[in-house]
Amino acid sequence: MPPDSRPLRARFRLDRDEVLARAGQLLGWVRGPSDQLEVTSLDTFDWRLFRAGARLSLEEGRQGARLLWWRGSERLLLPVQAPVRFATDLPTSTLRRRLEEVAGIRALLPVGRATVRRRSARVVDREGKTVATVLLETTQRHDPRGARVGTASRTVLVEGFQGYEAAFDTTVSRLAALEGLAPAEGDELAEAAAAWGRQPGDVPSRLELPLRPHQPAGEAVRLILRALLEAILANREGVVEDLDTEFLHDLRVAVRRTRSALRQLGGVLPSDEVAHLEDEFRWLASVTGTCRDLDVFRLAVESYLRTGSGLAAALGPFLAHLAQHRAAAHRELVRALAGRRFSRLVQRLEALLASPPAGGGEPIGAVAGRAIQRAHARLLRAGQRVGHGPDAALLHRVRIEGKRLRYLLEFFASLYPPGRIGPLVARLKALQDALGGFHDAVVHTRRLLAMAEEMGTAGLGSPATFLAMGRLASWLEAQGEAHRQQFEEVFQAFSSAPSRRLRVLLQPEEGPS
Amino acid sequence: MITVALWTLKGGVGKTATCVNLAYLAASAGLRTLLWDLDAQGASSFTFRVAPRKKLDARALVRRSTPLEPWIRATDYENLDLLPAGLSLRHLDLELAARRRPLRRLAVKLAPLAASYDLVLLDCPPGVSVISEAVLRAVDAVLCPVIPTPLSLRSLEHVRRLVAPEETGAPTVLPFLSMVDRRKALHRQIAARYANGEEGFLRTAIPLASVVERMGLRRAPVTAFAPKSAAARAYAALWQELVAALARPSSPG
Repeated sequence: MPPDSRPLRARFRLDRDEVLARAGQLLGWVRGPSDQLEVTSLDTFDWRLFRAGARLSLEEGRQGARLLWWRGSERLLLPVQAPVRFATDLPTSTLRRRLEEVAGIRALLPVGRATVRRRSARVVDREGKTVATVLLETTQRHDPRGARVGTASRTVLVEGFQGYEAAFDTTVSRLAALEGLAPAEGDELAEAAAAWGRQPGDVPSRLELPLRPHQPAGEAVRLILRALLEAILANREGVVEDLDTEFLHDLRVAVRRTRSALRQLGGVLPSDEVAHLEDEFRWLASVTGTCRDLDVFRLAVESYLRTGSGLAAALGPFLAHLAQHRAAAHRELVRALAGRRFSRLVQRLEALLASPPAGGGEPIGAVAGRAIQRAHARLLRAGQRVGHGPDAALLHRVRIEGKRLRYLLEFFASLYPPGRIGPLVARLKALQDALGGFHDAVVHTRRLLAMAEEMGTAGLGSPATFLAMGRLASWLEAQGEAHRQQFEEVFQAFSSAPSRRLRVLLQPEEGPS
Repeated sequence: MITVALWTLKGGVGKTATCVNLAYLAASAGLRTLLWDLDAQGASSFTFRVAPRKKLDARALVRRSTPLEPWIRATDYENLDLLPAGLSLRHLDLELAARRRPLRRLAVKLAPLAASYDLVLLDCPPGVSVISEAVLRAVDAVLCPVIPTPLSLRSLEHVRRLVAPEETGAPTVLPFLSMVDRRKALHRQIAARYANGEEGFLRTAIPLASVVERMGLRRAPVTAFAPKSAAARAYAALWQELVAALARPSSPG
């Protein structure tokens, strides 16, 4: 007998109050407690829970606060005392595990809020066991400022239990037969998000650009740059508010992609504007870099602490010093993003995007094919220059060329038959993970040594702290070496099979169609 | 996932009452909890008003190819599920014995539940049987109720011997005093001997209380319907002590 994995939850719109007396009679329900709850729907900025088919809400009522998770038939509930921002704020539990898997390091943010007046009733069997609950809810949704949105809706919600699926079905079908109750259309999360000014999935999880091969290149490149600018602006508030580290990560990815697009595809745009924007985006990459490096460093240290090193206490003064550096870098970053230079950059790019592309021009299909081929050749040359030694500069060059190729493939994925670009990007990602891991280890080790100097000069930390920092440095070096070796294997695989794939991809009859 | 068995050789020492209340307390704290009623008397199942599905019998339960999930049913309490028992499980011992590697079977059956539960509590029948031997190979700890009498203490000695601490991976034995009647001099005397955790005893003693007996009438854990009673407070203290003991590195036997 397979376990029943469908959601045991059905919602009806209550049109007439009289129907409740009839429903109670029919189901022989036992009235339960009433409560008024403040219900906050939670998800990550990029809707990871929604995309994984999960729902999470915080319910605050007379009984205290609790987090409620639904996915399929799985319903998890966890009483919480303090505000919850990250999965790791929760005690060890199945719910924490689920959130770690789905939300990762992203913050759980409000995406809707409502005041719910709830009356409950239980449908019981002959033993007095609850086999389904019926909740009569009056829901008033709010916007982020707390103002009411629309009028209160009235619903009847039926919830079932594992092992009592038949009783749930009977309850639902009996209610469905009553006049005055209609199955509620629409999704609760979508309704909550609409009042909040959002829509589930309104932040794309990856770059999606529907380009056509014969589209003029000037128009297509403007579409690419428009999508990237939107990503930068969408993440800016999260960076300024410091909601989680992924906002800055995603903003910087959009900045790097923009620089890459300007450099590799800028030939189809006015050259003086491209040169100016390249300078300005170099500045933006630079002012956002320190804070991101420190975020990555902190994540690496946290991952070291999770190895069971037992050095958390000894590293305390170092972690505090790191936090100070990071806070200062974040203040600088906020100043830059609120400054005139940033707004001028945005205006200038917007003006370029609004300007009409020059008439005629090459189709994007041909431009894309050439750019990809050139980037691929550059990557192979850079990779072949790397010997077996740990030459950080050469490896960094391979990393940059790899990113440039990857970004092009992502921009132009829609120009090629489905399934062609994905495997190439996956191989490039493996290459970049290895190179990124090596680069990070080098940068972190350098920063760790610089911080040890600073702390020594300022009289911060005990000998135990410095010994622990030494252990951390050794661990970082070992990580770097492991990534270095991984690169050799991954690059070898990449430089053989994928180049054949790329040739197939770019063959005229197989190319943009 | 942590697995804990409530087991001892003697019957009527408060195993089921403890199991039901600890399960409720764990679930209330937010742990996804499963209570597996392995006793054909089905006292835990009765308390939670959960009857086994009609098709559940001993053969179906121990069959390697059948997962346990379809037999699990929700209780009326959040986060608390039950794998109920009834008289149809009276031949569980025989069915288990007839399988290949019978002593590993319960561990094999429990393993997939790690994805869904934080804690599994096994309410075991008293006595030594294939079931108890299989339970000892499947759990992290054995919580052992001991009435403060010489016979019950002797029974604990047998438990310690059967758990075979010399074997790697043997569960931790956690005895605690149960059904302590303060009106009896012998109970007071023995309770005083273990009050500070001597010989591995947990410090909490569960009192003999009529409110615990009323669980059979109310069909609910005393910690749910009379949370301020002395018995409920004792179960809450026992739960806290169990959490601390499970967090410590294991010390078999």
